[in-house]
Amino acid sequence: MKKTYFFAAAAAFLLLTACGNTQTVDQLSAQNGDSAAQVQADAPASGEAVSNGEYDVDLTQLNSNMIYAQVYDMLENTEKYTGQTVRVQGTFNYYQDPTSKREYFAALVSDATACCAQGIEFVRKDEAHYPEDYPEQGTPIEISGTFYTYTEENQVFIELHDATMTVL
Amino acid sequence: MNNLAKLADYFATYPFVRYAFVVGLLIALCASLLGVTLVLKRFSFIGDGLSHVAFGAMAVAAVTGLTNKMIIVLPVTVLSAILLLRTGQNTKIKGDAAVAMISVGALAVGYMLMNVFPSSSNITGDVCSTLFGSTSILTLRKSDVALCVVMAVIVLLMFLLFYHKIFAVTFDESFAQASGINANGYNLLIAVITSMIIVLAMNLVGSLLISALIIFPALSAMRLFRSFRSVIICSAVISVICAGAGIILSILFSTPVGSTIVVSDMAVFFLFSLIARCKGGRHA
Repeated sequence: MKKTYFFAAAAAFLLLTACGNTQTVDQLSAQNGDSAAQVQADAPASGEAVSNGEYDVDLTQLNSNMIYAQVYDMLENTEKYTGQTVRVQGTFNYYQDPTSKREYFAALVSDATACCAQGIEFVRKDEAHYPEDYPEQGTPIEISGTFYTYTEENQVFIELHDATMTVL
Repeated sequence: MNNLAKLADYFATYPFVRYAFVVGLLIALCASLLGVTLVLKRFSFIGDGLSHVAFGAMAVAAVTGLTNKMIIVLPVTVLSAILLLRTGQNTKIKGDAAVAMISVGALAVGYMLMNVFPSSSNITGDVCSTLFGSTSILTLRKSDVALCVVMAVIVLLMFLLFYHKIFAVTFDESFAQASGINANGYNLLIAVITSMIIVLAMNLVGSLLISALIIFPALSAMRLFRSFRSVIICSAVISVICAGAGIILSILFSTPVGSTIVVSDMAVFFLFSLIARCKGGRHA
């Protein structure tokens, strides 16, 4: 249950179930029986998302509705995006699991109605420690990194690896 | 990049934009066809009532952890529609009161269930997305689109096949019955179609705004046209154009999809009212 409280009201997997089609979590869970956290490193597949040459998926040129829908598509079709480079803008969020002490960092994007949000976790490639090397929660940030998924407690989460973070 | 080029790019690049368009236009078309009948039968508010019932049923489906919520939502909504449309005239609780009662009752039960047995920690998001549609229309999968297409085809076929009977029942139910038409049966058919459209439309505009999708195109068409056929055709055209415009505007300018569609419908209504006034036509 530790992840249930991840990012309080608006963290990544909560938001999977919050808006749009709520079958996502059920389906993703059903595909993954391993409860231990494991990183999948499948070969990249050809995605349909916008590529600007520098990044396979560049979400910074989209408005909030389109970003929300695109991130939802990435959560739905993780295999299509695995291994691709992604750039996204959102607000910084942090959570530390009280039991395992594992830290989670994410960029949250909201839709136009502001009632739904989705998050993309990231792991920075440089050595960084919270809170000194991170902004305050809610600060607008830009994240770029490589798209991967991992499984924890039968849930699949998305994550940007080797990420660089820029405070906007 | 200008807006037209941007839109073309979105269509070419993002499958969910294409899905939203297909589903949105089909729902708008179906809703407008039925809207004329419901408005003329003085059941304009039934869409609102049934959508709240669907909200309650969706809450029950979420609480029970059903993957396919339609298993509960569709039968419950159909049953409620039958009860409301068939028993409106001959019961102690008359039509409008029955709609109001079921509407608020289902809304309250649904919201309570979502709070007492939350299926996710973001209850506010769940409720907001169900009531206002949020961006649900932009998060459809192929299977959702297929389901919508099948249901829309069924609705359109039923409407076309039974057009004359629906016409008769709409204008004078007693006369239709006296002339041998099974009015109760066609009322049942209207009830089933209504509930199917409500369930479909929840994805597009959310349960609070469904009534607008049903009544605005019909009322707009009635400003300028008099015959049943011309009102229905005009209503369908208005509804499809407004839904398309609403989806395009919300995609381009990041406005809430459902609200943008309804505002488009409202704008057309006021425009048609103005034209009717200028022409000295109908004002009621």
